[in-house]
Amino acid sequence: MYIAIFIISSIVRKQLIPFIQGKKYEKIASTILIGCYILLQSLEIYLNYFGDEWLSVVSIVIILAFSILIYYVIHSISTSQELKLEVEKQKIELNYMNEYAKETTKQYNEIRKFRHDYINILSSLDYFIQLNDLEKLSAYYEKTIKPTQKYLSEGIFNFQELKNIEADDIKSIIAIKLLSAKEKEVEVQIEVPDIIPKILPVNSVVLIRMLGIILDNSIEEVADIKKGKIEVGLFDMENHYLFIIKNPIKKDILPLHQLEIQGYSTKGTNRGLGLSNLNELSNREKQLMLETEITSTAFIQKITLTKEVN
Amino acid sequence: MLPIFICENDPVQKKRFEDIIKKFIMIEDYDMKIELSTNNPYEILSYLDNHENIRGAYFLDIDLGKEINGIQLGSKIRKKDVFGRIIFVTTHSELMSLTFTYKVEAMDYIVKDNPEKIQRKIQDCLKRINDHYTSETIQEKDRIKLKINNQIRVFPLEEVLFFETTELSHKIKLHLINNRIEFYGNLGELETLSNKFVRIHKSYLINEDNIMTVDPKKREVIMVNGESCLVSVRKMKLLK
Repeated sequence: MYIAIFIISSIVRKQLIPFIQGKKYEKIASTILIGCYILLQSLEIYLNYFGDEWLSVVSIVIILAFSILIYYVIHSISTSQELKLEVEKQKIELNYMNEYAKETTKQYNEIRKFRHDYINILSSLDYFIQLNDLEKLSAYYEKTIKPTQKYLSEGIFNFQELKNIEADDIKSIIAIKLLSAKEKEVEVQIEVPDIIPKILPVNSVVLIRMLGIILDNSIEEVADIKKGKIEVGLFDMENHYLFIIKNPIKKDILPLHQLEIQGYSTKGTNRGLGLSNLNELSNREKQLMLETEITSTAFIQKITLTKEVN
Repeated sequence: MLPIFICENDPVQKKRFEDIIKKFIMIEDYDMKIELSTNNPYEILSYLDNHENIRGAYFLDIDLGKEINGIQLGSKIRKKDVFGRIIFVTTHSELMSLTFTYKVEAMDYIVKDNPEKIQRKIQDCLKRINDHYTSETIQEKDRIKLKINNQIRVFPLEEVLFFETTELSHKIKLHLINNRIEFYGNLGELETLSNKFVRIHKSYLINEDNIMTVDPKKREVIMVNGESCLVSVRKMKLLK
């Protein structure tokens, strides 16, 4: 008897519960269980108290009240969990949006400052020309004007590449990672030839987290090897959206499945953890497909979002 | 005869490409010819509309000075000639290598910096196209074709390790030597793609050529890259 209970309970624990959780059947399962419980109890009451009407009615009422109570407890727990997830999601989004807003303001101020400088530069030029002092003019050019070219082309003002991304959450995660790459002196080339719309067929928190992990890994790797650049591409391929992130790698990189082992890391970093998290995140989204490839020179990760389920 | 198409805005450049290509085809005696060389992208598109089953090679300038640029032209060509070879000609500032490679599936791109390099690169492209055109290097039975995201992708069988199911139904994960790809499918259908594929477990379909060892105690198969797959009790006998 005990052995049978043990076996059944272990089957339930290992097989049934993950199945129910995986398919999000918690509510249905609990309703069915409660139903069975009521049925069983009613049967027992019917058998035990048959004849004594008053007692059986009271027991049924108690059991019913009890069951309804249990049902509401379960229901409210699952609803509050959903709410919690929603709140968490909005928190993450808000966070990214705030950082993005801060950065845009900073850039706007830079531009204003530059415009101010520019007017000053023009008036000094004017002054040297009026003096007809070519020597001073060229010295001034070398010292003051030439460096501004670098300033402009390095693109501190440049989120221009992101203008086709209408999804604010994606835009902000990429903008933020771009800035962190800049801090680490890692070059990033971004290609977004198509419009990436606001609404994508995927839970945006999952997508943002995945992009964050992939970009962090790439930035870390390139900062480490100190050469090459990260390439990021976002495309609309008609039937699906395709996001690609590609970065150069060290020569002695480990085979893919070893990098994937949870918690594995090359330098106390979290690449291994990152990769196993990515797999886990990908398993939550039906319309999201992850592809990871290592070539002799590059690490390439692609996220595909299917527009319709086939 | 493999038709070659050129779309280039600048007449001098266009002439130069024609010369390089013509000369190289003649010297190497390739079965190719320049079918159309133009500065008008729509001419190529209408040619493709009027001729069926064209499998061509296309040298496209990015800046065409028209309403559409080379990348858009490339995408349109790709729809009409799925297996065509597209090579973009570009300046450094227009270089968008991910777009070339993944959006349009271009074969290569040529950066217009120095003339000598351009010539070498064009010749190299023609040579690769020719190699592919004359000999299908890998035989049909040594590769598999999968439809992934509306694209047909070909994988050499020797790189295929195994397929596994994921927690989501119909989402299959393919493990290759250096690649992991998730796609829609089911193991039953995939099993028919090659007689090397063995269904060893309800969640695993493996390529028997890439087994390293079998561990009967743990009921696992270790693949050549060290990854392991579960084996069901009944299928264990198959592997012995």
